[in-house]
Amino acid sequence: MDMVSLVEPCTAMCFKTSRIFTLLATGIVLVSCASSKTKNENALHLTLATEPPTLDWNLANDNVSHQVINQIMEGLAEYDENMNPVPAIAETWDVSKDGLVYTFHLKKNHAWTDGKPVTANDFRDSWLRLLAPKTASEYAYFLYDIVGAREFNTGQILDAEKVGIKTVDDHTLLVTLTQPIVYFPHLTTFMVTYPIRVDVVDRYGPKWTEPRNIVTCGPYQLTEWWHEYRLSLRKNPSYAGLPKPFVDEIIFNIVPDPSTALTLYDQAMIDVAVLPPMAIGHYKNSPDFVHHSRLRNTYFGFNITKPPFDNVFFRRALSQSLDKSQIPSILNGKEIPIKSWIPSNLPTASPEAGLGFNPDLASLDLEKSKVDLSQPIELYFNSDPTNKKLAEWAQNQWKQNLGLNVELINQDWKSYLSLLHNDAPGLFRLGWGADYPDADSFMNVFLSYSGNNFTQWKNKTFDALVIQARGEANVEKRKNIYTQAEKMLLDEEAIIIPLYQHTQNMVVKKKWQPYPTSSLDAVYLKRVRAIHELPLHEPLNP
Amino acid sequence: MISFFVKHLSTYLITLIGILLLTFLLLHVLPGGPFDAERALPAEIKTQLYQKYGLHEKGNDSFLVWVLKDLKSYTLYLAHGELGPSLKYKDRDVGKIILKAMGPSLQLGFAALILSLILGIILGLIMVGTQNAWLGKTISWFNTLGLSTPSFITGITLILIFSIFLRWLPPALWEGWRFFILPALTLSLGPVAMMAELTAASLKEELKKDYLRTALAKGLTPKKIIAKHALKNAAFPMLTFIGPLAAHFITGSFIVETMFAIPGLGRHFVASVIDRDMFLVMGLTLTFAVILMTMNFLVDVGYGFLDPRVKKR
Repeated sequence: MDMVSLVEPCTAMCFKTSRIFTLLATGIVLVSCASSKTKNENALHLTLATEPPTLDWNLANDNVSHQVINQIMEGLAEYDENMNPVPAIAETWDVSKDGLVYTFHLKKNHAWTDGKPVTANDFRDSWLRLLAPKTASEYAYFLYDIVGAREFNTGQILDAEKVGIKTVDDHTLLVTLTQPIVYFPHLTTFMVTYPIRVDVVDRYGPKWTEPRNIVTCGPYQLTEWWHEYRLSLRKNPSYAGLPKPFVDEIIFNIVPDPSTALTLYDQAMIDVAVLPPMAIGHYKNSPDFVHHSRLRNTYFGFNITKPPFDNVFFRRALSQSLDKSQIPSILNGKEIPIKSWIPSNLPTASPEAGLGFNPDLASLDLEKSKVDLSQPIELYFNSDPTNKKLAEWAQNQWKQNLGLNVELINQDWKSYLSLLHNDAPGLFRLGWGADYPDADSFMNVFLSYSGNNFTQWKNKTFDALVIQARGEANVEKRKNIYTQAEKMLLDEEAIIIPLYQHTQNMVVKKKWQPYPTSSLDAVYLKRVRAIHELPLHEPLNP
Repeated sequence: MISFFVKHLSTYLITLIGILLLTFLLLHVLPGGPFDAERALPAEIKTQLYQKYGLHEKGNDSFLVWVLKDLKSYTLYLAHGELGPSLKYKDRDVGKIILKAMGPSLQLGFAALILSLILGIILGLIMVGTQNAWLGKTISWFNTLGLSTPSFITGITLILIFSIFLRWLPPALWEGWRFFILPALTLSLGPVAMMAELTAASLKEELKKDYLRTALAKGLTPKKIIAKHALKNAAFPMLTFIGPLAAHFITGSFIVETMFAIPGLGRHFVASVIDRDMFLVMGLTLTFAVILMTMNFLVDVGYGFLDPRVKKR
């Protein structure tokens, strides 16, 4: 007897088992079809790309945390549709003639979710906590323009009374600045400046942000935080601000892969999905497609201490030999090509600044530079498919228009940051996004003493112009100052090559359109309305 | 038996310390720190952050002094029975992050392991016993496909068929048992194929042995011969494979968890290194090493049960 034939009865048994498996699988599928979950119609299902690193708004420093915190908290001011700061918890504010003292008058009906009123002291507590060295907040420097703030943060002064944050009474907050700053109300819209209940923080320690402990004062309250998976928010019934939230429940699922989020969107399991560049072509004609510009730019920077980038003619030649109008078709993200640095949707933008594409002038500048072209130059960027495409495009442009050989070098993000901080390469790619919608947020990057200025360019005139613009209330005058400064940065010295302004491309279910958008990614979901259901619920602006 | 335990445990302990030290060292060799971000932090704030977590900036210290300083802080956390705080997820303890994420990974891993074992052994038996050449070839073809297809292709294909075209199963998320099916299938396709090949190969080898002929001559039924004797002895290579496979399943898969938005452990393995979240990387390394060693230990114990000769040795 062939021994293999011994296995036959077992094989038959296996077939039987397989049949059981098949039946089981069919059963599962049938039950699956029957048990499709029904969605709460007045719930908004969204995704987050990662777990929020924290919901402690004094410690948060990232977009993901910001998206959640913005719904459960509120500050002195918030943005309107045109990104102007408008009162939120503050009823009004006024500024002294010298521009140094801001007085915020708080609304009297704002309350925390535990019923206690929101007071000026809650703001003072929060700002001092943000600045306290033991908090070790990465955004402490956000308030460095307040008298004594930097010194308090660095431990040079220990007495909080010496910091220019005072309360006059329960509803009046007085802030004294070291220099006039016309955009100061913008800072009060940012999450790190929201008020805090230090008694709650002290009582629960690191666990104070868990749903059972957290006390907030925004339009929504946190009801569930399943770490790494889901956060649920519910309408705050005691919210006194306007407009009142319409959506009963907001569910944020953590979905790291944008393609997965898009599949969930197509299956109607979520209501909004951010489109990866590859998918934009497919959805751009859909009525669900929503697109807006962001206050974020990408640029090539030069470390002007490293040859041949120490040569201004060479830098100008590189800057004028890139045909940036090709970028949207290369990167497919509906990017906006730019030649000036301040985004055009800011009132003080100066579109006339910056060098345009001019291969003839570029060749002339290259001749003048007398740079030895036998050695290839190196372009550094952080590893990312979009950055790679951009670098390859630039490599091709410089080869085509100047005959230059360019080597591409990429590194992972943290290694790249370390390189930039310790010994920035001669030519590098970087992005910059605004913290507040003001030209200063872009221009201060290239101040001599800015930690974000990797170009090593130090120019006192440029510094003076940027500082002067901070205190100039007249928009036209301010714009002229920035135009001068930008011309120095981009035309005369060609310290950086601005490449493109980023855009946000997403799909939103028609039910929720028009969906509120924000160039700072600071969306207020209390403004979301389901238009066709509106008559059944409360009006838009009660 | 006691010496068996002592011998294995001491080897594992030494290996574990070696792995941890090496990982700690590598984390310091890697350029970039946990607090490097697009927005450069003022030096004083960076110093506050390092102090808060008991870590040190390299500064003027030599590499060795710097590593030793940080190692001291880490051992202090360990001495307090903690794995340290996460540097990215502020206010969260590494131990709790790992415990929380291990739940879904365990559930999914267990389902995938059971699926791999049952389907793998069934397919292996069919491969050996079937008289139908076409069926045997189909299974072989399936095995080659399973072994050579990366999980992201398997996952996408399954989502495409079962979620997008047929709309039978959800494409992602983790809301109940229906949500298990596609990720468990994705995770187990390769191991099913491997298990089937292993079963078939070891069984074929075992069937050549004379003791089975004797058993048949003694009048034992074929089912008994296969189940009690041949399959038991053929299980050795399978058992060797199951140890690392179980550890791999329990600790989750980066690709499957990312693709199906599952809140498991696998995602952290990659993200923590990218974020230079030192204590989380160390905690994960420790967890993975301990699980792998435990599984290997259980496999060693399992050998003893399968073959009394091993137990005697």
